[in-house]
Amino acid sequence: MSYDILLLLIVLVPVLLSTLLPVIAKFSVALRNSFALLLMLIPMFFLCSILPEVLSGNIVKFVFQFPLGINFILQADIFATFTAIASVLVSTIILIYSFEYIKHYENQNEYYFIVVLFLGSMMGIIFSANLIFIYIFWEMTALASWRLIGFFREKEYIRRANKAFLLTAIGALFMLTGFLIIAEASGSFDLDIIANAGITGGLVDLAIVFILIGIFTKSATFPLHSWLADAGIAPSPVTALLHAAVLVKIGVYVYGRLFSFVIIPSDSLRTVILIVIAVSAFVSGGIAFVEKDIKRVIAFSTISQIAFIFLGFVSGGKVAFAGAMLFILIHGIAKAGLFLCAGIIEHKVHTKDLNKMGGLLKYMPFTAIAFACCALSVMGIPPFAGFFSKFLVIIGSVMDGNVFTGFAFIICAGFTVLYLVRLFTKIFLGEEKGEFVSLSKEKLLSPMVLSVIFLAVLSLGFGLFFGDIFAIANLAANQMISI
Amino acid sequence: MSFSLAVLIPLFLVLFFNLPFYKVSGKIAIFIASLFCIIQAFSFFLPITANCPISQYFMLDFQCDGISRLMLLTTAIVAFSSLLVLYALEDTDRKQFNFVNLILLSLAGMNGLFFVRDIFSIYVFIEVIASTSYVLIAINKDKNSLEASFKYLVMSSVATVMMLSSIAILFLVAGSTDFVTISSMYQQYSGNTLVVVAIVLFIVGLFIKGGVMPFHGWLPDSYLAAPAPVSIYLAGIVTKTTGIYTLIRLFYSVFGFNTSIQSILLIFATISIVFGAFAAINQSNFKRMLAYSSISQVGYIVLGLGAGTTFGVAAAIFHLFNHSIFKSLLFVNSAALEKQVNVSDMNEMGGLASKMPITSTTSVIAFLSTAGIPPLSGFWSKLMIILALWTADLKVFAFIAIIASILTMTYFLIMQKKVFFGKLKEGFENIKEAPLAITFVSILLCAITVVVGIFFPFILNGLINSAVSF
Amino acid sequence: MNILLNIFIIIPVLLGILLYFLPTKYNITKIVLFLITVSLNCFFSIYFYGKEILFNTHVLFRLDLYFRYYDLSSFMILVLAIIAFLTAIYSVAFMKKDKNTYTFYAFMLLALSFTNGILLTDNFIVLLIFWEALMIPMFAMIAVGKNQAFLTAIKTLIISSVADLCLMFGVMLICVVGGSFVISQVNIDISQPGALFAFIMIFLGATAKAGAMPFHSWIPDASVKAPIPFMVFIVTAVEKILSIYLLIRIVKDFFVIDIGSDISIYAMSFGVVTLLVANMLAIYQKDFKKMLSYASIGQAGYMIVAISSITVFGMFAALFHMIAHIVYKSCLFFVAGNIEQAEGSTEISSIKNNLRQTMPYTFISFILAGSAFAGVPFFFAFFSKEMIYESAISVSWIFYICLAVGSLLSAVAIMNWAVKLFFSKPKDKIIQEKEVSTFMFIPTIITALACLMFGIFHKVPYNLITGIIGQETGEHSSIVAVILIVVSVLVLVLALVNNLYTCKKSQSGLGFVLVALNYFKVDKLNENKSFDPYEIFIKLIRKFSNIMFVIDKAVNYFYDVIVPVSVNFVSASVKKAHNGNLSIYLLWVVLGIIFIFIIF
Repeated sequence: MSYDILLLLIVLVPVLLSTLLPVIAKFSVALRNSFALLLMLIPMFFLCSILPEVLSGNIVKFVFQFPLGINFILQADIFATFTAIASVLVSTIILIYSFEYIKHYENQNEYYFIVVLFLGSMMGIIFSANLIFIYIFWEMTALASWRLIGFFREKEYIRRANKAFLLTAIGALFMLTGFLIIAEASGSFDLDIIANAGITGGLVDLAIVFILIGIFTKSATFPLHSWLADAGIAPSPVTALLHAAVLVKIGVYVYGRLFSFVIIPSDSLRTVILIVIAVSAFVSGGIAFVEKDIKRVIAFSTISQIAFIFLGFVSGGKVAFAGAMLFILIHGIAKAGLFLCAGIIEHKVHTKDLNKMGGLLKYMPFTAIAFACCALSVMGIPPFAGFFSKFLVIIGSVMDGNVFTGFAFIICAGFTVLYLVRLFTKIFLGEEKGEFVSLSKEKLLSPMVLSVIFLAVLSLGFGLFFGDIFAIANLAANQMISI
Repeated sequence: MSFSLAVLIPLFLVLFFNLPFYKVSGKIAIFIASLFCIIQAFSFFLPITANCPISQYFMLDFQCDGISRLMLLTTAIVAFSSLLVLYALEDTDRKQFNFVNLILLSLAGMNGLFFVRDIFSIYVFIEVIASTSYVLIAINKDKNSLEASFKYLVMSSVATVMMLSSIAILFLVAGSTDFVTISSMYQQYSGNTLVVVAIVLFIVGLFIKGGVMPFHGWLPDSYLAAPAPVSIYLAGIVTKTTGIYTLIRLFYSVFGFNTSIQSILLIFATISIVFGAFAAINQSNFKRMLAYSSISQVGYIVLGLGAGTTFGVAAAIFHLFNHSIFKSLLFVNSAALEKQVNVSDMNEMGGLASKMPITSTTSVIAFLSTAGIPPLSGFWSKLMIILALWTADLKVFAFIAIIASILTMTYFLIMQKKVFFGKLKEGFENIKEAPLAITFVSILLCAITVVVGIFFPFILNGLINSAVSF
Repeated sequence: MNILLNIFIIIPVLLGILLYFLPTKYNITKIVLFLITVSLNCFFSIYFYGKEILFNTHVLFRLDLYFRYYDLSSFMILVLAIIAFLTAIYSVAFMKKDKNTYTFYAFMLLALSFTNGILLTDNFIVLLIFWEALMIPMFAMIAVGKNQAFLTAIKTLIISSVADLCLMFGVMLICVVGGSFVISQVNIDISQPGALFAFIMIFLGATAKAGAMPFHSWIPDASVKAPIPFMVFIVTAVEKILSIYLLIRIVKDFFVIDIGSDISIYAMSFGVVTLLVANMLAIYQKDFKKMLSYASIGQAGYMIVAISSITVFGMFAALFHMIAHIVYKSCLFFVAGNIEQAEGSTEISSIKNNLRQTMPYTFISFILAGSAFAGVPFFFAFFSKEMIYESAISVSWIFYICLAVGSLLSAVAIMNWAVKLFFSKPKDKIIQEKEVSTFMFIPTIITALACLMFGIFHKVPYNLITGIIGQETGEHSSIVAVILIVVSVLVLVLALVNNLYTCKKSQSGLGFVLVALNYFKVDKLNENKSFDPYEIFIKLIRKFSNIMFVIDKAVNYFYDVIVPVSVNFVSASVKKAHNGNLSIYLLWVVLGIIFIFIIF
């Protein structure tokens, strides 16, 4: 099978075959679960088979000319394949986790259908090299997040799901206008032609601002972030999938894809973006320190960590780019671990309020250890992978000259330590609040605990074997930033 | 030969049904009528044959180009779905029979409208359609349907008066009523006030018929009051053919575009998009909300037309086709709801998705397509409209069109929350899914939306290019 | 040649992990393993002493990491190994009955390997990795302590992570300004742009490790809650070694700073502030261990002052003082451990009988170490203190006075505790031999004798250090040296007199020093939350976060309330316009037509 057909299948298999899931569910639930897992493993297998080809430097490309300039181009370079593997890996773990979590709730068929559709559209965004098709898959992820956030059908939850859908839709529409401006300035929707056209100037900056509004809504940067915090009410595999690992990463990925060498923002715009993301990091860091709901704390911490990834992509150097790329993978794993632990805790303790928790270490030792490892990785404490990515991102931005933003983000890293330590102590250490006396000690073998421990081991593993993934990131950075 | 059949067959059918000595039951009438619609739909794929000889006896020269073939297809699909819904909803034989005859008559009128090439016979066929729809709205003979039909009668008679006077002026100036002479006349006299007055009157008449914003007064009440199959038929195709199709036909093949006509179209289209959407947000009645939403979507079609380029016309046609599909799908869903839950106020409904899965999924797909969410057909037609406006350098209107789809999304999300997506309201436990006929129609229409959405690039060449090559 | 790497870094880590996961029935083997690793570490540090070894490995983190084993690092590793060996022996006996001793051992080995890693590495990133990774064993070793020790562990984690972030940023700037990640290739002139900022940050990070002022408040809490071996090994040995090692590298290799420059003045004053405040607070402590912890922060001040004089002589004095400090401080902590073993706690109120009779040997080692601490001539710390005085006075005499005052305060403090512990009247009559077990006793005596021996034969450490730093140049006139010695002897005599005079009258031996300090209202500083930099920092953060929380609520209010209300208002007004009667609709039609004609 030639590589570009493989690339096409990576995108089409999850998107088209996911519609079969509700049908298969009629026969047996186990069959549906395994088929959903299969639909996730197939793209993973294809990705691994095209990885050596991509690593050897040449870009796998699938082109299908359509009228009106909206041609369906899929392009896999190292950056795209790396992010794709990262998100498929995490989504598969989350899917395995949700086999046990979603068991007790109704309308599961829709859940599995939407999760697999979500993964497919995520692959679509990562690989498509045409602005309109990026927009198409972007809206499909917004649609998927609407149905997933509204999974528990309470009225208040639906209102929040609608709010999330509307907010991301407004952002997407602004992004579409931005795309149109760029297409008009450069003459086509395809990224390579836009890159060769090398357009700059006031109009392009306006277009970048429009696109940024879309990106900032999707990756929940400060002024447009409120949908992310509200979506904590969704089931925790969903929040893990949406907030931690995949959905918020799309915005950052598109920024990296578009504005690292296809369209170069002017320096004044670059400083403005830096200020916005610094503000977002500080504000969300502060809020996370006083927030009471466990999921909202982790959501706000995602918002401030996303600012780190933005820092990497915005400062534009090779090291910063590689750092940001690795940050996506490492933060995705660690944050998904935190959310899934929160799911286990909520599942056992039936409350999300931090003040009602305490002393859970005795009852849930394995979750506690996994939570601690993931938290340490997000904090950036060395043996864990988080340290390396944070170090690379900040030193990259310092290398590119913005020293003060680097210092601001060091303070932000301090904030991360503060609120994550507070979170850990409030949940696991300290004296019990009494109601948990009935809790039984958790068993290691449940898929939920196993997947969380696997994520913790992964963050430690990527820490210890950081050299290899750094080599891949370096290759990608050189490929992307050829100037 | 084939297109005059499209007009004659329905007439013969009506005569055949009403023969004095032979009584045809309602069910058979519906079956034959829907059979005819299916044939008409498949006629779209037959090649256009030459002019038919019979026509010179009727002094009408029928011509058929891409646009009318596309309109034939749309009319056939919508008529078919309304007939099936009729079959499911109405059970009294008498009413079914009257219903089918009226629909066949208006079908004949519409088919004629598509082929005719002179403005006077356009007027004739518009009157045929209008009269059948007055009776159709008032078929239930209850208070508010009569009132709504009366309102529709007064408003469209005003429109007809305007159209007739402008036709008279144009006939006076050009000497004959067929398109070719009028367009050649228009090239020379485009400046003089009399011709301008005529055109303006004609446009206003069509705006009233089409339900564009300031002239749309009759539309919400008549859709609300009409029985379910009628509102499907009306919303789906009648207002669009009499109002918008004639507008497209006039400007595409007769007058062509100049800046002032374009600005009229654009301004009124934007008004109806924005205010139609705002009006729809606060509605508590499902059908009334759909009425306002169709006003807003008609605004999009006129906006596409306002772009002034052939690409704009193609976009308008494509959106017209799409809109009639998913709008009639939404009305079919409202008919299903009316039959199963017989409550029209949305606030009393709640969480019906669990009880009526097919209706709810098809309504989700319809609303996503109306709002222009990518994988579905609505997105492509909206994208084409926006591209047309953008390339015609009308960036501000394009931006308004993009942002307005947020309003569309809002009122549909509210509808979803109130009706389908929440927790099941108590008292609705024993609700079953809608009868097979209705579900079959909704699945068919939903399938068309999805197929057109996903395989859009292939369809673009087949469906649209044939209509308007750009 | 990377067996060095395996011995010093990888073996302790592996054994630490093994120790942690071995099931409880292998306890004896655990202790044996623990002692073997520590002694192995000790043996190899002696065996490899003084050799110059450069090697590059790909094993760790699969990055190409450069390791450089040369005289300074070999010296530091040697000192560390010896102290680790002594603490290991001590802790085997001291923590026998404690239930999670084996986790303590495991994390101690981890801490040992990370410190060796820092001392061995020649790559900035690896330095940062091990430096920040040290936080985890520190957290665990404190959390093992008694009565809710994890709160102090949290405090330690936060403070040291903030400090390490400063260090990280400093290192980043150095790498960027210096142009390379290899430590030995970096040499930046302080006048370069950004170099000053880098110096400040890395200086802060390094001094924070030693417990300098703003980052010190976790050490007193830890001293009470964490086990004694932690205080000896981590607080006295590891922290001091690491910070002095990095400070020397900063001053010697990283930056080129001229001696009299105002940067060194600021650094020295920073050291002096730490010195004075810590020694003042040491006076007031009610717990012997707390007093020792404040004293060690004070001694850190001494070393910072010495190094920041940027003179080779200053560095020489700092290194010498470091070894002296480590030896006598660990001995004092061993003494405190013995007392705690015997009396249950080192709180002044809970010590019932006269320890001089009950614990004679501990008493003797206390006297030896105490006098070294106070700076009595012919004891270990005396020469190092003289050198520090000399390096201080070479910069300006004000520093010398502050140092003298500082040593006066510390002398008074130790004498006061000597009286309280060993010379006060016993509360109850029964006096019987309660000396501690041999395992705890050996390290105490060894360190005490070391204080004396190295005091007398101070040439031995002297030559060792000259080998490292090189001959201390610069003329130091003999008159100045004589004056310094005379002054410090006077200081000692004054402290002794004050102590003897006051302890006859009232029980406490503080005398006029207490009066002076109360006059400056220093006692309020002690133990109330408002002056603890950690509490101030947390209060500030909480205030900031509350403001942010309000901002977030406002943004949510905008999305949840303002937007829906305005949209509903508009749609309601549009809905009102459709009241349904025909005349209104026809009116609109007329308006529409008029509007069109206007446009045309």
